[in-house]
Amino acid sequence: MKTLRKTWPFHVMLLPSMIFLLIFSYVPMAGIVMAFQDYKPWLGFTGSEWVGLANFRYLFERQDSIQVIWNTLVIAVLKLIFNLFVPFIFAILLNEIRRVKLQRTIQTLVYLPHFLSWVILGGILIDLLATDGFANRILSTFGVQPIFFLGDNDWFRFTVIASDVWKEFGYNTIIFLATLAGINPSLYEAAEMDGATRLKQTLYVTIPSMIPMVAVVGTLALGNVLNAGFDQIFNLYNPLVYAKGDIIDTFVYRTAILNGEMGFGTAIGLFKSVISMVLILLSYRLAYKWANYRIF
Amino acid sequence: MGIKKTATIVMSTLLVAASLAGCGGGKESAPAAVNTENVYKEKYDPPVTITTVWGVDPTLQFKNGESAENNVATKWAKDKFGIDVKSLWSVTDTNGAFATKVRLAMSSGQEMPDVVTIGDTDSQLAQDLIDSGMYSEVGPLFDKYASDTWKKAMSEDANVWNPYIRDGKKMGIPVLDYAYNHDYVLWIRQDWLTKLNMKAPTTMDELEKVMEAFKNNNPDGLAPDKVIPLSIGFKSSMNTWMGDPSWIFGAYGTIPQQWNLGSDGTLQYGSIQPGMKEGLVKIKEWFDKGYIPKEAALWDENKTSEPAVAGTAGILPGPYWMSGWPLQDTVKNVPSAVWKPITIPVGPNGKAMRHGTTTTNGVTLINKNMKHPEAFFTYQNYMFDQLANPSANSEFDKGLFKGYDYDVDSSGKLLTGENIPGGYVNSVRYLLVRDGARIPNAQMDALIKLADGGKAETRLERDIQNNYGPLTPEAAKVLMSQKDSSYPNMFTGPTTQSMKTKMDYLNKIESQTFNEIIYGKSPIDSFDTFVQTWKTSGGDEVTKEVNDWYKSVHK
Repeated sequence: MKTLRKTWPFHVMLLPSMIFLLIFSYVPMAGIVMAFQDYKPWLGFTGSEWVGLANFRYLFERQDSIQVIWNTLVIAVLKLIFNLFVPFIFAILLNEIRRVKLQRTIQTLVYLPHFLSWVILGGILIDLLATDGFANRILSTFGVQPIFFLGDNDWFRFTVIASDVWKEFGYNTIIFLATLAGINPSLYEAAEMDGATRLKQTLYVTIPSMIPMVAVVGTLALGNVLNAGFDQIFNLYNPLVYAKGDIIDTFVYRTAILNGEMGFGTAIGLFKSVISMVLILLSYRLAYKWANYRIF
Repeated sequence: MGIKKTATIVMSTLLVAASLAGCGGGKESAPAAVNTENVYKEKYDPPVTITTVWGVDPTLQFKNGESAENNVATKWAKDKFGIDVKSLWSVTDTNGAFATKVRLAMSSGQEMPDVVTIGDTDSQLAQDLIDSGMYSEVGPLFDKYASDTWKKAMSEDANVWNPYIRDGKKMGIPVLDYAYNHDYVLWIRQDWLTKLNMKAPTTMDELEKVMEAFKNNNPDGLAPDKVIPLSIGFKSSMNTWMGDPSWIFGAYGTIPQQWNLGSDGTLQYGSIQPGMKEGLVKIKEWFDKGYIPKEAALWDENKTSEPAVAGTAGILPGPYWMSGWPLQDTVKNVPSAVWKPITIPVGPNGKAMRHGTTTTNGVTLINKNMKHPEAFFTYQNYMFDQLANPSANSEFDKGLFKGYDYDVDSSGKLLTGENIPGGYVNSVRYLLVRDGARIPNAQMDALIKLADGGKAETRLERDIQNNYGPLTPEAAKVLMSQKDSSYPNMFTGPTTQSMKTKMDYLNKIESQTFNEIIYGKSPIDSFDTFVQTWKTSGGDEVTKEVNDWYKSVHK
């Protein structure tokens, strides 16, 4: 009580954010009831008809729903893995460059695509990856038959994941570079005294020091495991690759958003949130157990 | 410390108060006043109020510090009719912001506008508003108050009411649009035809010969693999606008992705008819021969126009107005290029089909609580009588508002476009109903008159001559010469129950099957499997519901 007398201004300062959190994050949770209703905006929560689990049943009743969920998982998990390891390795390599200017330039260049929107990139990729486009012309000089990157079920996922990693790896690279800069130099000095080579230093000093950050980035990314990237897929997919490219979000867009089926949209949102939460809790436990690292 | 503390508290409190203030506003809807006398007037004194809401097109400009709520059109309505157009709110309509805001207003119990116009892109919202019961039956109002010009325009196509009929009651006034706006012709490179000494193809066989010559014997000397004889795309649908492939199936007796009237008088889904299979065989053949783009499955409408503008495409299907945009740019790339509109070629049985146009572009709803619905008709009647196709002595003969979409200089010369002091603004968009008023056949009539060598006399005719593409009248003539081949989608009702749950899956397997057949990934017989799956996966239910609806509006 005594401390409160001294610290109460801080509590007051905290108040606005708490109220915002309450209004914008907790109150809207009541909207989850829509998942169990045939929601009609003019009838509201209280007047709309209760349909129990019908919205969820519909999600699993469609002949292609397993395929769609599977596509989402495969694309999202592969993106998660590559978006973790490509920047990880790239950051270590970049860190070895001793010329600061060159390092900074490369860092900026790889970060740039992050700011491009998929609407624009989609148009560019369709041209670049066309069967007589730039990519295939280069491949043909090596005697490779033209590849239909965006229209072939065997290649579509590869194209999606590779283009996403290309676009986004600069972002995580920056996070990892910051971690690298924070490693205590005395560790390297000690290693050098013990006669460790550059490679050994990387293996036994650099990488272990980065593991906690990898755990944080990985865990936070897991929350998105059912988000395979709506903008990207929506701009790149086409009827030829529905079998490998249709994901939950594009499916929701076509069925729920375009038709104003709010109940169904909420049901899928809830489904995704529950799975994501389980995964986050799980990875939090794992990160604590293996890397001895607590995020929260 | 004391000042710091006080400051902290004051700031925090202000922040909370300010954020909560934004959440204010709520119910204040007044009960409807019952008005029994005949109240329709040319001018209301004292003035009456019509409340409305605006989804403002992001490209729409305002001048003289005006806004959607308060501008030359609202002032004009007040002076002319004593009608006070009051805006409840307006929103820049990007990414469906207007529909979202209407839905929010509806669910949070805010005051709903007296008059609201919902465009065709938000047709589900219109249906939801009708079902909400907040808007009144309009049939009797329309019969009682609408002017003859408006009634006549509305009766050009009786089907326009269909989407808005509930239990035989007309619940919304369709917003009329020009007829044949979405009917298509083929645009062909006439200079190539001339150099090849060929004439415009009228049958599928002739079309194939022309495409063969365009590709392998190209008059501009392009290598065969650089030429796209027929630029079409399937990414969005087999039934679309620019680069539309639906007429190819039309040659074999069906239009995909829409409901056609069968010989037995019922509605049939176009994509599952036997003609589809023949059409697919033909497209696959063309694909293998390189007549259509290799990436057709990835191409949307705008993409199909790119090779046409670049001068490497021979034929581009699309609307009659395309000589204005995008085809006018072709000469910048290939100075010798000449585009000509031609009719859709006929199939083996001598018949052609193209997808037709519904002559509506949305709906206007009238609130149950509106005190003076007749005022809306005063406003709109005037638009139909004076603006839709104005005669020479109309107030709107030169344009809508002087100083906005036209001006007159000191010598009496008419100024248009950039010559208007302060610039041109599309003030027709300020009017209560989108596009003011359009009489479906007025535009085609004007175009045909110009095509036949008539002089531009009325405003509509001058407008077409000045602002539309140079070949538009000619294309309109071609279009009208084939108007018996126009088949609009016959189902215009609200989305049915099983459509909501089944149609997306059906569309998905349809595009997948068709594209795989064309790309040779599935045999042509997979079409038969698709038809079976379509029927058993909900297609039969949808067909039944569609026909129930059709019977209900065609009693």
